[in-house]
Amino acid sequence: MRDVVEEERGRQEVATAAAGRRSFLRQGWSWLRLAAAGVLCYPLFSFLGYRVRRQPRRILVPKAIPLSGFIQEHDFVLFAGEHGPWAVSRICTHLGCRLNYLDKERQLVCPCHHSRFSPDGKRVDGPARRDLTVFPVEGRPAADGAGYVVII
Amino acid sequence: MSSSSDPAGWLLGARRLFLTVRWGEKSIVTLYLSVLSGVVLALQYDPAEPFYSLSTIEVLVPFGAFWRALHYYASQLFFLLALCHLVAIILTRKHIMIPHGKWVLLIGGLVTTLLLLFTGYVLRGDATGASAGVIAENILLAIPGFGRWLNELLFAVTTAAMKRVYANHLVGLGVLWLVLSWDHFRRYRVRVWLHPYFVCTLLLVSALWPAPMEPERLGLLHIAGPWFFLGLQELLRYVQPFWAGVLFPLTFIVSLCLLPARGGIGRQARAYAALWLLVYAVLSAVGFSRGLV
Repeated sequence: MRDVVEEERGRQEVATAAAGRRSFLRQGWSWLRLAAAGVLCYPLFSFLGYRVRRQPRRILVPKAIPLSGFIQEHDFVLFAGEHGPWAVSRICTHLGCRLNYLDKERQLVCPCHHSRFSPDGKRVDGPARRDLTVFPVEGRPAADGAGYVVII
Repeated sequence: MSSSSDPAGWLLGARRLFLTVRWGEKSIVTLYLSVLSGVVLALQYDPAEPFYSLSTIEVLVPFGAFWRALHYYASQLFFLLALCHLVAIILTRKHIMIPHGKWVLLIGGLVTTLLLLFTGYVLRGDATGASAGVIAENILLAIPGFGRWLNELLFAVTTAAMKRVYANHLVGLGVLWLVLSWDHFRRYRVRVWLHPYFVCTLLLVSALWPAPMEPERLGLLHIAGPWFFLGLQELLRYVQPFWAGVLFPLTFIVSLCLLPARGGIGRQARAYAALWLLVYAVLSAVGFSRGLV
């Protein structure tokens, strides 16, 4: 009788060990698939993250700055002052919306969250924390007519 | 017993009326129309010049305004009707019968629907769309660590313009939505011709009212984001992008995932979701009022 009980116990132990091995292998297989998916993310994001280094663009503004003292282009606002022309970026430093210059208030205003900047690009008010980028401006030779080249 | 004149009676009546509508079925009809009109639009739309392409469709292409309006209204309605369906399921407490894993997948499907709507706005390439795109990009970039990867995957509008948004709107997010919702979606087959009044109304509205478009113009002082983004746009005025744009919405999604949980966690999740919606509604109302000034 005792032998039968021990034999039964032994059989149960073997079965338990086999089930443990199966479960271990199953879990191992799941972890392996997860790890493979993780490893595959590397080539995916390397592919997506590749960027060709952007060359500086030279934007030609083929006109004189009017009496209002500014020209609003797609990427910048070009101003003229006593010390010559300068250009500030129209991209808000808060979340990237395109700013508009308000001549009456002499400020660049963000239409999304209403950050405000002075014409020389300094932050005045609103959620933005940084000043605007100021771009170099070159005057064009007078023979070609009045105009400016802004390097962005 | 409540009479029909007291507020509780009205509420009960409204609830009963709300539950008589087959929201899920109606949302599937709008999904079919949205996909159909989306495929038609994609045959003309050019992501290399989004706003120019959109204006051409709207002004020059025969029936362009109609197809665009149909896609716009059908997609908006799909999301709204899916939300009503969700509310009806929660009100009738059927959500507690759904296995928790499947419930989480369905909430993921709802979030994907919202992303599909959002990428649709971005693809307009007008003042609203362009701003929505860069805001989303900057919010993702505010996530420490893998924010850059997420942005490369979903938006990257600054470096890749509309390429990725277009690919995701057309294929990536659609496939993700199907993967997340397929088990739920495949059970229901809806015949569009059994909803003639609904479909005809939608077609008529699309023929009469063009979908909105906001061209860039000098002195544009206020851009209101998509209606579901207004609260977030308002919050971004006061709070840093990571907290306002990532953590705040994420807590709501987590609370939705925990709604069917039993006991204290479920109760807390329901209370939090209700409070969140209230706060978001107030923020949206403030954001909306800025557009009226």
